[in-house]
Amino acid sequence: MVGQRHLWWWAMLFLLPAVILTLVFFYYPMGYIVWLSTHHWNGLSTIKPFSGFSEYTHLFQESIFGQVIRNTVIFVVGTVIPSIVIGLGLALLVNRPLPFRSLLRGISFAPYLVSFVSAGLAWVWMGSSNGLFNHLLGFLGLHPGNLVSNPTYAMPYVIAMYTWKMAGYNMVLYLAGLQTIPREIYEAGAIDGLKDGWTQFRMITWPLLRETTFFVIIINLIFSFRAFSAIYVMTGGGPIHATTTLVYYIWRLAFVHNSWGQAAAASTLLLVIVLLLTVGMVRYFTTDATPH
Amino acid sequence: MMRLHPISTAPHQNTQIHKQALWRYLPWMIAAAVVFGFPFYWIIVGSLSSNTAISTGSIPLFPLHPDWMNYLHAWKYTNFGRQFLNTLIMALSVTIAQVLTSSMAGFALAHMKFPGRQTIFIGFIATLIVPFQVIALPIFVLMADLHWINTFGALIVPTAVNAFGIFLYRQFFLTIPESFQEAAMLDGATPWQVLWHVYLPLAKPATVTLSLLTFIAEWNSFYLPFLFTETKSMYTVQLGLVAFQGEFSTIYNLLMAATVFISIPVFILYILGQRAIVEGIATTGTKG
Repeated sequence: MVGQRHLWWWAMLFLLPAVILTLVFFYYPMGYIVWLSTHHWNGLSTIKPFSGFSEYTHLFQESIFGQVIRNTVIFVVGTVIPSIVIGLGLALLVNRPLPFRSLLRGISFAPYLVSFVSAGLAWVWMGSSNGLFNHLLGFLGLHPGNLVSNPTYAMPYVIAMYTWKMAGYNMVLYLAGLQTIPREIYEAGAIDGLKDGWTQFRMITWPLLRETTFFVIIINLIFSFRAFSAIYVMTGGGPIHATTTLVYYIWRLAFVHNSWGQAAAASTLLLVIVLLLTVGMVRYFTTDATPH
Repeated sequence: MMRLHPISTAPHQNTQIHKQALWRYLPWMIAAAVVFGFPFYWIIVGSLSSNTAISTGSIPLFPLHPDWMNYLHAWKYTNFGRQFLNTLIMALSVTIAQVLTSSMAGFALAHMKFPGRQTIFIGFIATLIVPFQVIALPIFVLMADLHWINTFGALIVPTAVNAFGIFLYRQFFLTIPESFQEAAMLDGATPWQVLWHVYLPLAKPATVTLSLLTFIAEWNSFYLPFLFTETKSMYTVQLGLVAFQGEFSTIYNLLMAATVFISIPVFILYILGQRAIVEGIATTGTKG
């Protein structure tokens, strides 16, 4: 038998690559970003003088900062809720014994497979003045013109594209959740009079999907907060900052305006928001959780 | 312990399909298929249309005179050959690196006892919550200091570990009895040999899942190559596509052709590994 001490060294050796990479490319950057948020830096100079909270103050004083936060909330809420609701609807639909349902699963999931760049550029084309959507809206007597360059339509349009792309992903998560519900529960429910589809869903399916919903919400929140490429290729944050979200703003502060201290402050803010939301979700779903 | 169920084809309500039920759901199915599928059809139609037809908005619903040359022109325009190769090198390297680092760490966390094991596991899992954009700036500074910007080092090393992979292997290794390890080590095998010759071959489903998901994610990734590359010769396919928009913003037919051939590798992988990909995504939302 090999000694415990010997095994301990092996364990360290096995963990070494992952631990080092995680420390260098995750925990060190996390610490650095918080540190940098209290220092002034233009990204080039060798000195980074301590600036206290002035980078945060400057950030809050930026004329468009309020709009950036509002855009971020609209984008996150506007993408997370519809893509989850549509994903759940699709899952319930294709979980039934219907013909062609595996084909429909494949079709609904396909948007998730293409990149945000590809999907975004294709939607820019479809939303252009002479594009598909203007033709379709024309039948309804509407002529909104180029959707991505219209301050009113740009954000809803980016949200629509994002929802189109993510609904199939949520469908897969919910299908996995639906598979864990034993059929006997529905049979028992039917004896108690739970027969029609909506009652079954409300009394059995939805409560038993609680854990799935919890993970779906967290994953979608994280995805939505990090959405960059779709916005970059579709609108470039415009028109007139109408689609500038926090991650887009961070990129601009650092790489366009060379305000690295401010970009770090905005990054720290994003970090705090995401952590608070995750902890909040975990607490909400674990405190009064139904026992399984 | 987690055991993955494939997305089974057996429905819960195992009643026969009544014609009535079918008619009730058919409109929804058609609507979903049109909403999610039509843009793909339209991309292909666009890729075969003339640019005049696109700019005037007079594309026929069915392309009767498809222009296949669009694909050749699109391929030549931004040096896609080189960009395909770059993306392939990046995606393969990251995939291999993640399988190695994840399986080693997952094995240690599943079958070896040492103080702080739980803390280290949580330390890995915590990384999944934070968006890359939060930590991208310090990594950019680090890459610049190392003079790694515009090299494969910057494209590969920062993503060489993935907590999801560690989680996946840990869960999978936990389902393999510890007695396998003990028996192999009584025969004189080192833990490395046990992992490499006994456990990894048994964990093939985990390897397939992680490899496919990682490769597809890398193939589609944009932000990291966008920050860490400078010249067109180091661009990945996604950047090639964007460069296209900048320079030839009105030539949508070629852009759509490029979109099609860039997406082909991902769709091929999906068709080959459908089950693994779906299970891998399902794992993301399954409590361990």
